[in-house]
Amino acid sequence: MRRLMFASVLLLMVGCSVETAADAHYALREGAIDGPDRLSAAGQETFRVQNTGEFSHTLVITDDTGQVIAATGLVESGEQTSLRVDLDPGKYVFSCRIVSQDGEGNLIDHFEGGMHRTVSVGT
Amino acid sequence: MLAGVCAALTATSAIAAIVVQRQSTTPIGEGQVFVADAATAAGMIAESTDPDTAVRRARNALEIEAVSLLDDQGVVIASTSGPLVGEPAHDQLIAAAASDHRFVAVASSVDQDLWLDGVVQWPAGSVLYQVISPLDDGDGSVMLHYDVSRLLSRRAQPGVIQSDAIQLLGLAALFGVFAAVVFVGHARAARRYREVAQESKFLRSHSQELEAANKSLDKARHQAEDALALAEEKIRIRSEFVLMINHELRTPLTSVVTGAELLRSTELSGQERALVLDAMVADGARLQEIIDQILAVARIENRGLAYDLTEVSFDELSAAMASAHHAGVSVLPGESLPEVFVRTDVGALGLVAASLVDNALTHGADSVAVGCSTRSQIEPQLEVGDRPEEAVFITVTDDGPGIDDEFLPRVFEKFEKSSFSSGTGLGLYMARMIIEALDGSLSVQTSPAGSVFQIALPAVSVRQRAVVAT
Repeated sequence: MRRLMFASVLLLMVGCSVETAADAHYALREGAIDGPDRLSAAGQETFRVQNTGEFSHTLVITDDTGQVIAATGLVESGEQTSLRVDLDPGKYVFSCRIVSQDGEGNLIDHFEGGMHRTVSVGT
Repeated sequence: MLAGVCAALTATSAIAAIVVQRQSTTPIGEGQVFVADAATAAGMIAESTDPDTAVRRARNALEIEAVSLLDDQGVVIASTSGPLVGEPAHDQLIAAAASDHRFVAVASSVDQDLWLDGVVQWPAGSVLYQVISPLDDGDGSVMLHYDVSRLLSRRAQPGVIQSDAIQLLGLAALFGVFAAVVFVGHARAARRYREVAQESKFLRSHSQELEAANKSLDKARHQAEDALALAEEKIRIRSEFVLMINHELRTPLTSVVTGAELLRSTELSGQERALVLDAMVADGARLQEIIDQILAVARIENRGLAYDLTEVSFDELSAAMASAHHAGVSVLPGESLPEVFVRTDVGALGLVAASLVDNALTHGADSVAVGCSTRSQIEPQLEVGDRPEEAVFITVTDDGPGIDDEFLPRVFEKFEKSSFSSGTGLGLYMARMIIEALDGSLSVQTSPAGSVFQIALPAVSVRQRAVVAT
């Protein structure tokens, strides 16, 4: 009985912190990419990507060597798109790779501004 | 100091290496790369009148995937990727930037194939970076096409040690080695300095000990020399004493023996016999006197003096001195001072007075006067013993030839006598010993007209003092 209760609690804890790729949803906004840091299942899955910010963004996924795995097109403010990926177990960087200039000529680099997130994909 | 400077340089170099490494390995944003590349491409396009040539030169210079030239509507008018010419910018952000003359870069999948040198290199769906930068003259924009993966590889690789950092680390190591060498050298020098300081300290200490030892040796040498001189002096005195004894004893003894033989072997008249006997008696008395003095001095030296101290008044002392006078000696009348008392041995004092009188008569005085007073009668040329603060004085004044200046300092010494003296050299010495034992002093003042010996005795009670009438 005690073992059963322990296993239940453990499963509950794991379920709270890890999502499957099919359930993964990432929101793009200025200064951040919101979404899970851990994905439980590797393989071909589809992410839902939504721009919740004021400006246009993209989502680019690179592996730990910098190789681009997948990328969305331009996602306008308020729009949502999907991204189909085939991920091996490992660590990936999800980021927005838009660079622009403001009216005073200052560069606005979305990656440098915080729009990146490291995501671990389990076996 | 030098080691510290080297250590500081080492630390500075190491810190600089760390800073360089951190700066070199910190991922930079693509924006700076894009701005620089776009400026290069724009410059080439501005220099050339042929857009097609300009975009090719820019692509080759920048070593990127493609360079295109867009008009204000976002339509490609020249490109190193032929199929793009005449096509509008598909990306909405790119198109908006072209029309608004803004800078923008977007990494995303392209909608159409990208040709490079007539070959499809990046098919539609590939992830490319498309950068658009307005030209300075406001006439269109330049668009750069990057492969995102290759673009990222252009960034500094975290974990890769940069050459500048390696050089700085080498410099730090060099300074470190130099600092270590200097430090070791300094440590050795410091250790040697401490050793030398300790040796110097030891030598100083040893030198001080040697100096003290030398002083001690010098002192001992002086003492030894003094002792040797004293021993030599004693030997001399003893030799002289032996000679004196030989002379002083043999002379009267020979006279006695000769007189006795004369009486035994020669027929003498009664008058002659009486003369011989008188001479023998006189010589015998002389012998007895000498022997008595020698024995008295020896007894005093060996056992000290045994005194019979009594408190006598000044008047009693004057009377006692008068009784100690010798034939031919006149005693000066002293003032009567019944309130002055002296604690002394009157008998011993009488012997001293008698000795001083005999000494004067022996050395050529015709008259000798003995007097008592409460005030000093002379300015002493020589004084032995400690004169009491409150004293009674006894003076022995003669009219002899005086004491030779050379002999005067030794007049109270044992066996010392002037060259023409017939005495034993013990009389004044014995007088000195007795007076010193009585806590008094003995002094002398002499001149060719005569000498004055003065005894000063402590007055134990002076109730009245009067001026001495001489």
